[in-house]
Amino acid sequence: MGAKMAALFVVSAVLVALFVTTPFLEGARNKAVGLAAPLYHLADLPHNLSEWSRTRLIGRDKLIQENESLRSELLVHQRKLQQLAFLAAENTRLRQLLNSADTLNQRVLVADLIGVAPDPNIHKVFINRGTRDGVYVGQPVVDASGLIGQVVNVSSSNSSVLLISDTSHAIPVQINRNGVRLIAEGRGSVFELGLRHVSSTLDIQEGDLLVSSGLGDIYPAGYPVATVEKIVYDPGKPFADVVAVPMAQLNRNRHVLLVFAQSSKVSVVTGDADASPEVQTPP
Amino acid sequence: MSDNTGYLPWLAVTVFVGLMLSIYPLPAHYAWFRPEFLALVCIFWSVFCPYRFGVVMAWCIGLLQDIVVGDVWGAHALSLAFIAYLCLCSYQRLRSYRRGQQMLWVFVLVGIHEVFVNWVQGLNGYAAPVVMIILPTLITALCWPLVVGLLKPTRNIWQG
Repeated sequence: MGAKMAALFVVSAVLVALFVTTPFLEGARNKAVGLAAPLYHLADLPHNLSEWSRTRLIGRDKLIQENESLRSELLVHQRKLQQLAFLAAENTRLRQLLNSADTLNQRVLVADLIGVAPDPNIHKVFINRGTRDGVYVGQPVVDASGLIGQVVNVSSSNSSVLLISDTSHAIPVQINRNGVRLIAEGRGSVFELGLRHVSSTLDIQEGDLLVSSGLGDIYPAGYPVATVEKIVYDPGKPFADVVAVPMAQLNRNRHVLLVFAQSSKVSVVTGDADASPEVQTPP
Repeated sequence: MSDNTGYLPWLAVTVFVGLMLSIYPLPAHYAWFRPEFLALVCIFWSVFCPYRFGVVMAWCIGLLQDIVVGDVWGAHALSLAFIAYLCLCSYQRLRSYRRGQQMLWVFVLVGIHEVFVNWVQGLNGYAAPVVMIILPTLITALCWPLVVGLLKPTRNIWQG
């Protein structure tokens, strides 16, 4: 038994080393997401049942009430949308003035959440869309109020999404008010992100909205990411400690949107001869 | 009765239930308190069925957990195989203990398991705070009488 144990130890060590340091197991990991999906479906069954009974066993009065409130909400949103159409048109005109490509048209796909990674350290969720629906690794995922994360593993009909709050995740952001660029990193809590390298002279205030800056080529620019909640200046440290709260509801979503970011990169066409051509990197 | 026809299906059932419990969706705050049911299942089988349950089986169960959970592959596999090894070395002593003493043992074993898994996760960039290693270990140890109470009465199914 001791020899068996030693052999298992060697096998495990090789497996862990392959997993952590090389992309060798990436294909198998993509398949594993698909294999694990039925189990997550099954584990989610009690919730689905309660959801089902909640939507089926509901009073007529309540439905009418809900319908009315939804209708009024729709009206509000339609009014906003009218304005948006005008703004989008204006934006296109301004962009034409600047000779730059229009980036605002992005196709989206609705996906259902089928599971959450059980380890509280790992902020990953599993969704029911895969390569069959055109999902690719690195695809941005958003919800109604902000960015959620990016796709990291894809099987044929399921994929896993790394949330922006994961400790291995960081996202380039911009302060919406003044355009200052920063990096927001996950801290292992779904309720906070940290901002890196904020010098004490930087113009940042509590309540500032951080939007994705589009740098890094993964997330499209302009999606809300977080709002600045707390800024602590410690004279003994080179940088301020800034805590931001994610806009997206990372721990209470059932539906998310997969954004098909345009593959062509935004490139400002200028007359400069020395402007180096943009290198296109597929995501 | 000397055939072991009941053993494998019954093992599969316990592993399946343990796996389900270890991926059952919990709110973010409560996920820290999730007991390691698969570790308990492995300890149970290696203490009460040591002549059939071995370290390779424990390793396979751990690998299954790694694959389903999405952790580093090999982390749970090796640590479950290791605690199964410790149990197989000392199952006679473990069986003769009272439940309370067994719980203490389970606490230590699951502690080893948690520390090891966290160390491997650390290689991948995730590290849990120390309190969050001790807490689930304690809760897992408290679940030990429950697991034994549920599984031991079924032993005429799988025991020859």
